[in-house]
Amino acid sequence: MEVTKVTNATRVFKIGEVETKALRGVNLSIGNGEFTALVGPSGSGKTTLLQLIGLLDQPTTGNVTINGQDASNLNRNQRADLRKNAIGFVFQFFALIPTLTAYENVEMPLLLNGTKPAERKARVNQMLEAVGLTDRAHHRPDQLSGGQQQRVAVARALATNPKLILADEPTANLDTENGKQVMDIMQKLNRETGVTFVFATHDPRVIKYASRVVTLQDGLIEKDVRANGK
Amino acid sequence: MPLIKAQTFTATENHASTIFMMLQDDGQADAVASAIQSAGYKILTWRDQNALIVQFEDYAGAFMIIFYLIVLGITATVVTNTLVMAVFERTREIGILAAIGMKGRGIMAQFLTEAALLATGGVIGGLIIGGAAVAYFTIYGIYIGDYGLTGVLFEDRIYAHLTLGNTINLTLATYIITLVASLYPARLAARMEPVEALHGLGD
Repeated sequence: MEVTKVTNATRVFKIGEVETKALRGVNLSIGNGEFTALVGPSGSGKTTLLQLIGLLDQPTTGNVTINGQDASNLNRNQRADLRKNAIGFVFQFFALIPTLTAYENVEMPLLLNGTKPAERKARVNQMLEAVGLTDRAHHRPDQLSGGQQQRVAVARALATNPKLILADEPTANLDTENGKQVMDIMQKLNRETGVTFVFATHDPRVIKYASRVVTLQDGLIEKDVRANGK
Repeated sequence: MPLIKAQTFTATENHASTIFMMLQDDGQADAVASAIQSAGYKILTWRDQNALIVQFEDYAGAFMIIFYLIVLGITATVVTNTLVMAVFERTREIGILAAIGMKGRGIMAQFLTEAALLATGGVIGGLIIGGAAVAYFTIYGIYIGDYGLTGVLFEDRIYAHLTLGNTINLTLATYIITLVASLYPARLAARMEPVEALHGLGD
């Protein structure tokens, strides 16, 4: 079953009189449990595509479905609800709330979806354990290394048990060792929980983890290759 | 000075030309004047005797209202400015919260709550500092010179007088002004598109 489907999606940005076509008609279907890399050079449209799939932005034409639900006609609040319940995000710059501890950052999406306190506590501890940061639970982001911050972001993304995790250049600001740790954790969680990962990257060390590699070029899908070569 | 001594001193025998009556409550002046009104006496309240001061007090009251409005206007400007700066400084944070599913009204509520906390801090600080200043001037007063020499019935000091009404009115006004002033920055934050707020996080 597909977790997300993008149909004939275009995205045109207009700055003054200048139009930039970031996506020129993309069709993509991501199945449940896939570990997919969106690759391509800067400006190829991979972040834009990720933002459309994540309902952070809307296509100029075409549509996006999440778990079979067409997001085209959803209003801001309905899109926020769908993001809250179905999608987790990991960003390039970690994107943690700086004034909250690791525990509180992971707890935030659970607070938003109204999880009860006891269940919330158990889930936060479970997620911090999954990313190996139980002993750092009460540290703020500025007291954590880049790799640890990104692992907190992964824990936060998975806290509400979404079916889809979107990661934009998750290792771009990490050294090799920390980048490997984050990718190992993401792969492990993908295999153990079956959660679908889609990540944008142009790091060859990250691409090798992917079970499917979708290559974008100038706003179009150029290649779509699965690990078994199909 | 006793009446008999005054009559001897002024050679008025058994007569008195003026009788001063001191009331516990100056608000009762008109009622008492009406009650003791009778033929052959001219009854003057303190307002009649000090028309100039009463007029000055009315002007001072109007001036104080303008002064309050100026202070509250400055408060509103400072609150709006502070929160607009907070919105721009925390654009990425707003983007993160929106990305993980916080709705516009949740973001708006967050900024309004911060404004309410700001107002609470301001009111508590104001009550402590202002209360101490008023307490001092209630006890020691402010020396204004010997007005008695000019024929006006005045002491040489005026004293502060804090009323519960003033305290409650200004506290409520501060809360209302702060919340109204924070509506614009709160709406600004709530209406940000997640992708724009997160701008700069990707390529």
